[in-house]
Amino acid sequence: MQRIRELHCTNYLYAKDASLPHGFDSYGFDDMSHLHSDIKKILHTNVKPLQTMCSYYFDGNGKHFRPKVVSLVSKLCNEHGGIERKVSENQRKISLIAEMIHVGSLIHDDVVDFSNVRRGKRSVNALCGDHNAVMVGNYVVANASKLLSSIGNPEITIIISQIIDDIVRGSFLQCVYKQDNKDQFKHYLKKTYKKTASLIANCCKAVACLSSNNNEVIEAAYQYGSNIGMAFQLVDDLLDFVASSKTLGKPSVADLKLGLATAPVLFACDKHPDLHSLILRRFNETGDVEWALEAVYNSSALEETRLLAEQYCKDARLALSMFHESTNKTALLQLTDVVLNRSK
Amino acid sequence: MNIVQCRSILGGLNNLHLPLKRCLSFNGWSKDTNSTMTKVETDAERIVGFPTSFLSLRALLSDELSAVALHLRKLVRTKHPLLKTARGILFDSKHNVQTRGLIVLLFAKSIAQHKSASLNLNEIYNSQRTLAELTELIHTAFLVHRGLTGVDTLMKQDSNNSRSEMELGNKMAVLSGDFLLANACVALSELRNSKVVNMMSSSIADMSHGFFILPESGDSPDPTSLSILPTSRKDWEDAIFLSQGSLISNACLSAVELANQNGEFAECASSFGKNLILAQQARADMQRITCINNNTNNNGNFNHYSTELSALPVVLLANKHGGSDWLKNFVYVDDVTNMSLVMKQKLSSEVSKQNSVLEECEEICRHHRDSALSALNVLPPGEARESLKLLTKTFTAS
Repeated sequence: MQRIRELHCTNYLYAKDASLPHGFDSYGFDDMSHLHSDIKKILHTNVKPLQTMCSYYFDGNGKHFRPKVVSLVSKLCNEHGGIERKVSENQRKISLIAEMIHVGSLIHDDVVDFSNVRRGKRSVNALCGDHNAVMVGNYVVANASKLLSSIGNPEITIIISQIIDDIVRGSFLQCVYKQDNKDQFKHYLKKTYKKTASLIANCCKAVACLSSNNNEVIEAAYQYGSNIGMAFQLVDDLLDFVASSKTLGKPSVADLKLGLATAPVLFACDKHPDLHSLILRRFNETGDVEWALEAVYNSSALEETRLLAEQYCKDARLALSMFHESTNKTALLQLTDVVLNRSK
Repeated sequence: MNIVQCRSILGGLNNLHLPLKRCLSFNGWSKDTNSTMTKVETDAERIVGFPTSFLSLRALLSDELSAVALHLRKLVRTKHPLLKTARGILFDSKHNVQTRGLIVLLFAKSIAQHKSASLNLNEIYNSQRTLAELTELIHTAFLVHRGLTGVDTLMKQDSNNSRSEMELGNKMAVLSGDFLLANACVALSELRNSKVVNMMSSSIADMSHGFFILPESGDSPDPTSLSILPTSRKDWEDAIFLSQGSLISNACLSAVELANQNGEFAECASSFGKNLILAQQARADMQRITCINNNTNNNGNFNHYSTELSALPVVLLANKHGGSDWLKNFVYVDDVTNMSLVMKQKLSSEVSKQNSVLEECEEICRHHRDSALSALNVLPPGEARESLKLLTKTFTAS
């Protein structure tokens, strides 16, 4: 089994850490350096347990993937509209909000999934209990909403509030399975959009709205965010099958163990229709997880997942075709490759 | 649900076990379920012309929550706290839960009667109705999230609990609470008023914040966390404001904002909301502590809720006896479950010995009630204002 796993690592993730010199951190995002310290300032409170827990994930680590996309898209739209290229104060607020909503939802997800590890350290619920963790999550998102109100633009408020609604509805979708195989994939994609892509897509839309009245620009920003978000999650689901717990910061096949059928399993269903009953019973019988894993490795499922992610990346690049060539555009185009080839 | 049904259900509550009743009194308003209160509230509903039990119906009837209901059915035979919360929301919706929405509507109605109010005189604007609805949604969401208790704690409390069922219950509690909050969030954005978004988001942040000062249920009081509990009147007022007052206060303020009142009634709104909550909580705390003797349940002596330690009479006593160290005398570690519990009986008898403390509580309750009532005097006269006054008096009556 270990050998098969390694094999797949090299096949589908040719870009391991060593062979990927330009990761997420290679674009000189100067405005990212204070991201987490700014969020900590917003969340500051004198109540010690809350203070410790709410700033726990804002420790300067993490990929900052979402705020980076948002910030690059801001610059791209500003440049396109011929206004000052710099990220405006309100656009930067959207970056902070994106990260805060993301972390808030992670905290709640870990409670729902009984997960004890997150980003390579113990999760909030493992440290302070489910009860407190839920309140920490509420606190972080409520403060994001306060920050949102300080932008003072009702359209932007509506766009960002939609994200919160999508994430919650996405979580509900994750709890329900459809019987039909075709439906199942559609269901999975819908869940993935709501739970992951909506945040990036709508934040891109929001910063575009802050920069331009041009509906084409706004739509392009939204499409880029939506597609790169989908690709990001597909690769995440793929990595769950290949990465070791060391590189991903969470145990491998975590999704399977939670009873979740992600793209690789759904693709493997084509070749192994028996998997179907395992999906419906959420891999809860002894040996189910191992069997599903074996089925994924004995099919082209990982390849197909990667192809699908590639397709989304292509669509993301296509969405940018209306913008003039610029360093920002190049960075966003390259980012799709980074998403596709990341190993963590 | 008509008044007769409502009353019979409320009457039935007296036969329910202690934790459920406790859960309901946590809902905010005192457990006093006499017909005066019901009458006052029905009259108030007539004034706003809207049965407030319908306020959060839109969210409660959604696909997402019916999925939760389906899962809850599996838990019916267990003792998961979410069931108690759900029962509280459904059975008690007329009485306890929707009161916040009703107050917002009355407040809105009252300021709409003012001369300078824009065109739709005597109208409760649609936006203010949405505001009332989302106030209820936020309140209910927090009730649901509070119904969450660590699985390990639940297993310790009752060995009959099955781990997988308790886990399912917790999952449902987190998701349904989030769902209600998300609904509130969207409704809030649709009001298209950034000041209101700011105020209502602040109240959500305050409620989460307050939870860390006044842990509500489940978590047994950790001796090291006793130092966070309030030990002075001011601390107590601040903590109650965060966990309960902020929502009503900000909702009333938002109602003023939505009526374009140029801040004329802003001060009145926040003062009324804050003082109403403090007065009713002072009353509820007194009743909670002095009535412990009457509720001799099988394990009535001890309970795992730490809130008795933050009840106003206890807070005032602690203040006299040197702060949080004194509170340690009332925490006890159970030999079997190894959980720390609050010695309610001992606390109660200690408080009963100190008449001066109860008098002080009475005085604090009266002070906040009077402040709430005088804040209302700023509002234009009319039946909405009188109804608010009546509600205030009823909630704070002994």
